[in-house]
This record gives sequence, structure tokens and C-alpha cells, in this order.
Amino acid sequence: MAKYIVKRIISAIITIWFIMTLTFILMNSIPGDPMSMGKALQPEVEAAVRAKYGLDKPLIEQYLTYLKNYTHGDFGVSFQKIGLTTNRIIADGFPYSLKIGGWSSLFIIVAGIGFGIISALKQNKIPDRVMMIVSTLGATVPSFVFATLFLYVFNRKLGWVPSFGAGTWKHYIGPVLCIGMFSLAYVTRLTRTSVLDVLQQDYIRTARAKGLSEGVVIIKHALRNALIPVVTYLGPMIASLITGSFVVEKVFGIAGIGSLFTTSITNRDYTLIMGITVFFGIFIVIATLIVDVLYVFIDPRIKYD
Amino acid sequence: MLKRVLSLLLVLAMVFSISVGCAKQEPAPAEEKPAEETPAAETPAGEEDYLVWNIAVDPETWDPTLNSAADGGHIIQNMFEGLTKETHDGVEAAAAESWDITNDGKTYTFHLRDGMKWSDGQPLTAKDFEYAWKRACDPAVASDYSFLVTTYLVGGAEYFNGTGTIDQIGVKALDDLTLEVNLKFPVAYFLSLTSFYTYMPVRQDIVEANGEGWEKNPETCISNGAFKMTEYQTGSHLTMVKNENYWDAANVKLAGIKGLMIVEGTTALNGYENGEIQILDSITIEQIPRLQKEDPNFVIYPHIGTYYVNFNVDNEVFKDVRIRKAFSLAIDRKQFVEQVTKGGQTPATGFIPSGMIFSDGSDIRPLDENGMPAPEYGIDPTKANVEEAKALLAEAGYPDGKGLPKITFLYNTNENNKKIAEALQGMWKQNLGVDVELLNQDWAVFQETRRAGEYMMARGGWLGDYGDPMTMLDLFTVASGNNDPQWRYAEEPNGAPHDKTLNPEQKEFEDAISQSLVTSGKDRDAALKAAEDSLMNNMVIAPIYYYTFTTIVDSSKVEGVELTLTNKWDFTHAELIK
Repeated sequence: MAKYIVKRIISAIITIWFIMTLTFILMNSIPGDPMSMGKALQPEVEAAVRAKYGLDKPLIEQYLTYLKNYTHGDFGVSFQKIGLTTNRIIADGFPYSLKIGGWSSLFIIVAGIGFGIISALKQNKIPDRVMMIVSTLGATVPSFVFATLFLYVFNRKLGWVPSFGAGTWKHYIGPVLCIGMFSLAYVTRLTRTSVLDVLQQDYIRTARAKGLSEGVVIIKHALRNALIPVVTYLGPMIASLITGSFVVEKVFGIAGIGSLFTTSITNRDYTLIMGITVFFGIFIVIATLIVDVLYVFIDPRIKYD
Repeated sequence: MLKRVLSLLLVLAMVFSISVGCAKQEPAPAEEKPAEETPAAETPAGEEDYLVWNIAVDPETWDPTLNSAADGGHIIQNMFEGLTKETHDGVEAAAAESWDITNDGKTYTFHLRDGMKWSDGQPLTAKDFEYAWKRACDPAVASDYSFLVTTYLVGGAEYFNGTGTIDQIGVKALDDLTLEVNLKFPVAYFLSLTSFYTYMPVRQDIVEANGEGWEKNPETCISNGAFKMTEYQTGSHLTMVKNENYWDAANVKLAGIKGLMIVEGTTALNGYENGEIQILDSITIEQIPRLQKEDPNFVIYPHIGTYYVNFNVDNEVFKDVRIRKAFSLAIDRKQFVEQVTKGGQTPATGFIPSGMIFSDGSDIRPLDENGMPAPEYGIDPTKANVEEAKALLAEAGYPDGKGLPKITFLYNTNENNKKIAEALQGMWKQNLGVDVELLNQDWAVFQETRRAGEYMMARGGWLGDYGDPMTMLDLFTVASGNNDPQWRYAEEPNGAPHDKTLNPEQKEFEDAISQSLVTSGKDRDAALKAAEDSLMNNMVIAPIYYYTFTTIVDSSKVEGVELTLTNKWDFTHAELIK
């Protein structure tokens, strides 16, 4: 196991280096650069600004500078937010997204798996039908529609939640629901299908034939196997929820990392694009690693050597 | 077995509770959260007594020397103060109590108010101005707006280009309260420039010790205006409180201001309608008709700026002035502002927007009782001139557009621009019979395409920085990198090396601009008007409308909010209604 983890960490470092290099190449190949955002400057001024940010240096030199700084955990200074380091920008924006994504993940795991099991056990009965309709809606209604509707009803009409920002727990209800809606629907359906599938297996019939109570059959025998595909989905899901959502953050007026990331690209804020991409990369690699390790606990058949 | 499943769920739960650990003790409001980074705000009145204003973006900077954007400008207007101050009616004395101007108009001596202080209590002296102005001329500082200083100050450009020294720059503190300024030529609007942020003072010790970004940290954001910053959270908000050390603090009523950075217009509007925000601007177009009907707090102000169509004068088709005129005359500007933009804009008949004034204070482009400028350059603000447009197109060899190659109009991707582009497309089809293809590009790409002149027609918009027509006209000088129509009589190897197709008629414009730099009063007015005539008679651009500034001030909660001439919010005399 330890050997496996070490191996995975080494491959993670290579993955992140690769992400970084690819981002650098792509970023420099799209038209427009940080200088094309504002009014045209006098040639001397533009040259001075380029020199200040090292944009006058050859690309390979810029790349090596990034590489060198990154090994020290220094993501550089933003081009478009004068004087702010990428590290500070991430540190300011990420906690909001982490909080929204974290609560959303927890909610999805508890509610999604719960709904899925209920749905499977009551297959084709009313609770199942209701949940399937709701989850179809959840998977198909775009989050900005849901978010706008949520604000209209709970803010404008009922006044239960504030209209923007991220102060109290009330501020988080809308974003947590909106960002998690799609995954909630997906996890519910996945759990349902998977539980139904497992319930048809021979060993479940055996367990029932042995006279075990239905509760023991479901929890002890069925669920364990049924959850493997769900756990597989959870890793990337959590990573994607925690890295924020441009749409949800915009509608709820929250300064999270999702909108920062999108605007950094439209603004051609090179250091910020690189910094956030690598940060996300690290995050996703870690989340996947955790899930892979969890498999061992959940399924004794899986062993890493 | 069950234990394993449970332990799995427990592990998962732990992973999240580690990551969201702080969320558990959450009831603390967000404002208090970054307490580790920011020193405890002095909150004598509590944040509930602060004015809430949506800045709508996280500004790039509010370092007065470095800023070149409107959003940063609003913040600077309230946090810093120049020798003079821009108000709604023009400029008034501010940090300077009085000034003397020599007869040749080239030397200004400013007398500062006695006893002024920075927000940290240090004395504010003429040296602070000298330092800030010299900093703006420093090539290593690379301020976007350095030209606003180097163009005028003796020795400024030389220092910037490395041919002069810092001591040769024409600004000198004679003593703590006297600042002497030497200009290269008489500048009619110099007192307007000294109210502009590039001319505001900054603190040498602070800037040198902390480097760029000093203004983003409450401890080092030392300012000399009515308010000082106490908190900044990236992308979220910025808080200012009354600066007790401001010389006119007795007249500052507000305890503080919370500036939000909500980008989404509908979210901010919803916040206002819920009573959580008191000041908003740049309201989303779709909401304007409803607000105009329902909400007396919604007010539209003229903005010193023009929305126009750029014609690429180096293009095979648009090099013909008759075609440019045809496309311009085919636009029904009244219908445009009433049906498309709907924000109370004024149809444009020339490039210089209404509201800009001549030396005697009269409006360059006065409006009649219906809010319309007089017809000029063949443009009737109330309707399209279809007949003449068609005749011109036929004369150019393309009757009813027949024989024209594919014509394109380029805009930057944005809902409003799209609506405008589609309306133009419709008018050109209907009035000229020409099919125009619409293209759109992401802002950064669009800017490069336009500057390089790789288009036929492209959208253009320009907002004036200061209250003089020069802020508009200098767009189309040979040396200007913003000369998107590529209208140059001479090559400009530094600024626009790509532009090899020359347009001799532009010399007339260039000469008029040069003339305006060495004249004053009526002569200067005439020179500026001649420059506009040259631009418009050649129809290098087709002006469509003059911008408006759409605002909401919640009059049930706040009074005394002011807007300056260039539409910067000024909260110095604002007061919350209890």
C-alpha cells in the first residue's frame, strides 16, 4: 500500500508538471495577451509595462521562470490585479468555493445515496416515481435557471435568504443546492440502478434464502457492492464542486474561485491562469488518490501492490 | 462488514469536515472572517451605518498613479484628493487653496492649504505631489496614463525616454506649501488635469517600502481624501471609513462605505430592490424600460463618451469616403436609441459628445428642447438619410449594393453589442440593400484585431477621461495606438508599424490638433472644431449615440450623493437618512 501511494505521488507530480506545461503552451497560443485588455498605450509605455512583467523575455525563459517559482510554491504576481500575488487571490477566493462545494458534497452523499436506496427498494411505486421525476429535473434544468428561480422565490417573494454575498449560513443555502443539483440527481440515479442491479444477484437470493432479515440483506450485503460505482463518481465530483462554479458564484454574488478562474482567462491574466490551473490540478489529483485508496476499504477484492 | 461501510462514510465525512472545518462555527459574518489578514477595522459606527455601493468589479488598482479605469477612478475620487477637485460643474480648489498662473500660461504656482494631513496623521506637503508626478513619469513604474503627465510637464517625456533626469521634470516643491509647475506649452485644461487621479499625491515612504499593491492593504493604503480604506477582500468587497485627518472632515457625514464587487447586474439590482444596496450604476439594458416606469430612483445622466462605428480607411471598400458616408447616413439614430439601446442615449451627429464645452463655457454640441443635437455633417439625428446614402453608394459604383464584396462588421462578444450589431445590420439591409455579415470576438482578441486594422467595420466606444475635447480627439492622431480606423498621413514606426497605407487627408486633422496645443481661447476652440470637421467630413467613423450613465440612488436611504463631470461617484457630502 505504502509503495502504491509513493508511486501514485510520483505520477501525480508528473501529471501536474504536464498540466502546467500544457497550460503554458495553450495560454500563449490563444490570440490576445495581457496587454490587449486596456486602451492602446504609447509604444514606450507598452514596452515599459512588458518589461515590468517579464513579457518581453523569450517564451522559454518565461516558462523556466514559472517552473522555478512553482517549485517554491510561488505562483507569481497577477497581471490584472496590480500588486496581488496569485497565492493571495487563491487564498481569498478558495475558502468560499471550498465551503459551498464541501457542504454540497456532503449533502449529495447523504441525500443522493439515501434517495437512491429508497427509490430502488420502492421500485415503480410512488416514492420512486417522484424521485425519478425530481432527479430528471435536477439533471436537466441549467443551474442558472435554478439559481434565478431560487432567488426569486426565497429572496424576493419570501425574504428567507439574503440576495447576495457569503456572510451567514443563510447565504449558503442557495449556492449549495444549485451547485449540487446535477450531481445529486446523478448520484440518486446511480445508486438506484446499482442497488437494483445488486438485488438481482445470486448471493442476495442466497442471503434471503438463509432467512436473514431484509435489513441485514440490504445494508450488509447489497449496499456494499452497490456503492462501488458511486464512490468512483464521488472523487471527481467532489473535486469539481469544490473548485467552484462560474455561473452559481455570479448569480449569488460570491467571490469564489470558479468565477476568478473564468475571468482570469478572458482577462488573459497569465499568472493567474497558470496558478489556478495548477492548483486545481493538485486538488483533483489528490481527490482521485483518496478515492482509489478508499476502494481498498470498501472492496476487499481490490488490492494495490 | 457493516462496520466497514460505516467507517467509509465516516472517513468521507471526516474529509469534508477537515476541508470545511471552519464552516462549522460559521455564524460569524463574512466581514469578520479575514480578520487574520486585516487589522481590526476602526468601526466607530458599525457597518450597518455604512453606505452600500456596488462597484461591480474588483478594480485592477486604485493606486492613483497607476489607475486608468473608471472603476478604480470612483474609489480614488473618494479616497484621494488632488490640488483641484472635479465636481459636477467643473473643478474647484481642493488640496490647493489658490494658484498663480504666469502670463504665458506655462508656469503654475499652487499654494496648498496649511495643516493638511494624510490618513495616518503625517503632514501632507507639496513634496508628496512632486513625488507622485515624478513617479508617473518613471518608465519603471510604467503607468498606463503616464502620457497625461509627460505630454505637458517640462522634462517629463525626456525622463520617461531616458534622455533626461528626474530633476529636470518641471515640478518642484518650493517649500511645504508651494508647488511650482512648468509646462511645455499653455494647457487650457491644466486645472482639470490636476483633479485627475494621475496627478493625485501618493506617499513616497509607503510606495517605496511596499511596492505595487500598497493600496490593497489597509495598513499601507494611506490616503488624503475624505475616506480611507479599512478592508479589502479580493473579488468581494472593499470598505472605507471617514478619514478624520481630511482637511474638510467636518463636512463628511458618512461613517463609512462598503463597496461591493457584484459583477452580475441582475443580482445587484435585486440587492437594491431588497434594500441591501443603495448605490448602483450601469444598469442592465433589459431592466431599463421597467425601471423608467416604476422607479423614481432610477436616473439617466449624459456621459462624456461616444459609441460609433469604425471604418477601416485602408480597406479596399471603405477607403472610398462615399461608401463610408453611405453607411453612416443609412443609420436611423433616433430609432436606434429608442428601440435598441433604450437607455436615454442622445443620437450623435459628431464625434465630440454633447456636454463638452468651449473656452467660454458654451456646449460644443448643444441639444434642442427635444434633446437632439443639430444636424451636422449630413447626419440628421432624427432619421436616416436614405436617399443620399443610396445616391452615394451608387456614385461609388455599387447601386443598391450590387457588386460589393462581402461586408463584415466586427464587435466584441457581449449581449448589448450583439443587439446593436443586429440593429445596424438591419438598417444597412433595409436602407442600403447591403447584406452585412456580423463577426464577434472575445475582448482581448477584438482589441488586437482592431488595432492591427484587420477588419472592415468594427464597433467603437470611447469615454472621456477629463473634461476637454482633446480626451476624445487625440484618439485619431498619427501616433495614437487607438487609431483603429488606421487613419494616418504618415508612417508611425513605433506605435503602428503595420500601417503602411497612408491617408494624406489626415494631415489636416493632425495640423488642427497641433494648432490647438499652441493656442488658447477662441483660437483653440476653432482649432478643435477644425479637427472634428476634418474627422467627420472624411467620415472616418460613424457616430451613433452619446453614452449615458444609468444610475440608482436609493433616495429613501441616502442623500447628498454627487456625480462629477465625468460621472465619478463622490460620497464626500453624502448622508444616510435615519
